[in-house]
Amino acid sequence: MEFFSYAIPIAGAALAVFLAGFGSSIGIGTAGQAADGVLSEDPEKFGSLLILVALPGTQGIYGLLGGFLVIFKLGLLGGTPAELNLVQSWQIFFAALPVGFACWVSGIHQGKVCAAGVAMAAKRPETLMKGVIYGAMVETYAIFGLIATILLLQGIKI
Amino acid sequence: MAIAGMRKIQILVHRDVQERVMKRIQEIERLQITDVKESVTAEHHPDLVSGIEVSDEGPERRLSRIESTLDFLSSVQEKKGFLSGLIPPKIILSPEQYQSIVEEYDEDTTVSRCRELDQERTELVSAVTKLEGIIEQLRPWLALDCPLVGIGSTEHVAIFLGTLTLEALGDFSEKSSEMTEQMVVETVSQDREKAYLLICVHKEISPQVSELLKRLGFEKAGLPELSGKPQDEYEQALKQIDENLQRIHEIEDHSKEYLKDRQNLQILHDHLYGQLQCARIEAKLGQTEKACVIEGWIPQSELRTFEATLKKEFDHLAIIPLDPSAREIPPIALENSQTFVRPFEVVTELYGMPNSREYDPSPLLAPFFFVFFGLCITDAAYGVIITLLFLYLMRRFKVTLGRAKLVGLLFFGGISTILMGAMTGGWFGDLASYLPPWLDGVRRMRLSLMLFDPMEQVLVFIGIAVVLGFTQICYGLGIRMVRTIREGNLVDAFCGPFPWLTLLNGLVFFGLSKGDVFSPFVGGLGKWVAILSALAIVLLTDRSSSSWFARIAWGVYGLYGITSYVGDVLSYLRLFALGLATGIIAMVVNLLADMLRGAPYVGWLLFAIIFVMGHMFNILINGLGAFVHTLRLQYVEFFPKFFEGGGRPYQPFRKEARYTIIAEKGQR
Repeated sequence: MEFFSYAIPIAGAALAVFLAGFGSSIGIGTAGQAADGVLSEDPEKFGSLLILVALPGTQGIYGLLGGFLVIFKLGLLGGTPAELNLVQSWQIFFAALPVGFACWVSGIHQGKVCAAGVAMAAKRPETLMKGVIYGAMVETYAIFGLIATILLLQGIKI
Repeated sequence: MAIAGMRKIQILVHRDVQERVMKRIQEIERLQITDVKESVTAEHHPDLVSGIEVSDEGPERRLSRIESTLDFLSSVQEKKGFLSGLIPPKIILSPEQYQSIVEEYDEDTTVSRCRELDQERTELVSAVTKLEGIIEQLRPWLALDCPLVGIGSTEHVAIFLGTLTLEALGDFSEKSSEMTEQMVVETVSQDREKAYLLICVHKEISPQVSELLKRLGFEKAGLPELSGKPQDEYEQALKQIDENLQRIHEIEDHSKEYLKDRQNLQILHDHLYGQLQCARIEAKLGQTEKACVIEGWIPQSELRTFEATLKKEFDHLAIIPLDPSAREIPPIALENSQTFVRPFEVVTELYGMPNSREYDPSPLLAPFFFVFFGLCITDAAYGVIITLLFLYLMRRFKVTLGRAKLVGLLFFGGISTILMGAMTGGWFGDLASYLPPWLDGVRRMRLSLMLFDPMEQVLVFIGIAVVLGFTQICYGLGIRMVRTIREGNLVDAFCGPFPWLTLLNGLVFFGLSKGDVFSPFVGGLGKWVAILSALAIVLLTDRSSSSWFARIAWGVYGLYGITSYVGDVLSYLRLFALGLATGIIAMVVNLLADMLRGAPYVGWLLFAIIFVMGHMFNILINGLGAFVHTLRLQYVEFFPKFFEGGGRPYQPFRKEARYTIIAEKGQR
């Protein structure tokens, strides 16, 4: 029983981290390729385009955060691990999902928006921050996913 | 709340001094020059000829030659540091130095010499590419021991040189088994997929073999026409490449001696570009036989100094204030006197200028931006780092950045982060809990500054975010109301934003009374205020409609807008999420660093590396997040409540210098 009850929430933590990391990797990949194309023409833009390329990186961090919150909740790092029953295990598992899935999809799409922003900033450098703001619009839903996970984990009584 | 008042002026000068006047205007950097042909003046004086477009081919060619020389030189110079890559350092000169270089420096030798070098290098590079291609082609044929040119058919023998896939080769040997007497097949080399073959056959069977090979997908070898044996040619090419690379290296070394001229070239570049701008803008001026008409916008507050400066230097010059026609909309410049507000102008400028009828939103958003930025990071130690970093940047690049508002903005952001961090007890995350017992004082100090612990009291943090968000939204509605009243539209003010304000607040009071914060009486009051406001919104949203049905339908639809207010307030929860995220990542960094500290011998070193790198990463990524999301809250949640925008920014005619800054002695 105990083996199972730990495996379930750990699976949740793992999902949160890797789904979000997945999204961020694809997102940064898309934006980074677009930026490299611009840099081949105009290497001076490195600093300013860095912002757009880095933007889809936050989803991965939120996912990691979600994962760590689960680990803290379980008390796996130092201290005595919490006693769990099967219901609580599943609760923690599902609580970890919002951040994982929201970050996954939002990371991919933020990457696309940022890549378009890169193309825009290449032609008109003064529009850079506008591209960044549009990128941040996509991130909202990753943040909402994170908020849901935090609140759900907070609410689960162990 | 200041949008600078703009005056339109007309400057009349004699054409003899026109050039000098324009140059001076360019140096003063205050006048936004407009096209005379499109103004009132042109309507009254159709005889006014627009300035002739001067052919700028000559200076343009000179400029582009200098530009390509600079490009060449920057390709041979040593790598720059990271910081100077982000903020390219500028050449700071006194006017005298500048003048003497512009007049005395002759770029011809350097430019033409660099051009030669550049050309030679380009040729060498393309030669290397070509040679590398040859090497690639030759590689499989190295074992072939005869000159490539000599391979061809003889009187009785046909020769095939090419590749087959390994699979096809098997087929080939099978199918040609009865012809072996009249055929020699030599495998020169083979790799994982292909065999490189030399096939000699008697002329008699040549058509059959050719047909068979074709069917099996035989690819004829495309070999370069070279006289030597493959092995020799191969080595020759390698040697050639080496020599070319050597020569390229020499050229680059040699070019370094021209790097000393780089600065002069850059100064000259800026100078010529400035001249070119002057020549190009002439198309906007008006001209008569003897006089030249310059028109443009200038901030009211600058007009007097501008006029005095020009009048002192030129005798035959008149400055006349104009009354612009209605379709000539003045450009917008933000003008805030307080040092605290000025950096926040950059937030408005990034979004777009307000129109000339409304307020400058910069001072209105400043306090919110300040608090939000800090709340998104909530780590006092990070705040100290950010503050010091931007303080350093401000001092180090004082002249280069000018009064760069963004740097100032982030500096204030750092200060806010210190305050918010102290309030939530974040000092490099939970570093305090790792401190040895004898540093208990530090821990107590942290606790005494701390108002709440975001990790434990999550709901308090959420509450703060929501309250801040609600406040800012109501504030935005309030601004719209005040503006509408000031414009004299009392009815609009009380039918538009006012019921929304009362509705939202009524609902909040009602809700809070349910949570026993307020007495039921206040709650009841809130409930009725909310109901009345909702009714008002339904009835008053669409006042122009003639049919009552349409009016109420639009009103109900308007009331549905309350969902967007709920969404707006929830959006402020990002403050909480980002703030908590920083703290948790910092905690994780500390945890990992602490784990490694136990490692034998290098424990402390590992600890230091993880600690420094981890926190640096955290500052970077969360600093970016804090900035972007704070901006977003202003643009998406706050601005739509009152801001119209649509103004064109004021862009005075000035020299666009890429490399230089001319500073008086006192400024340096």
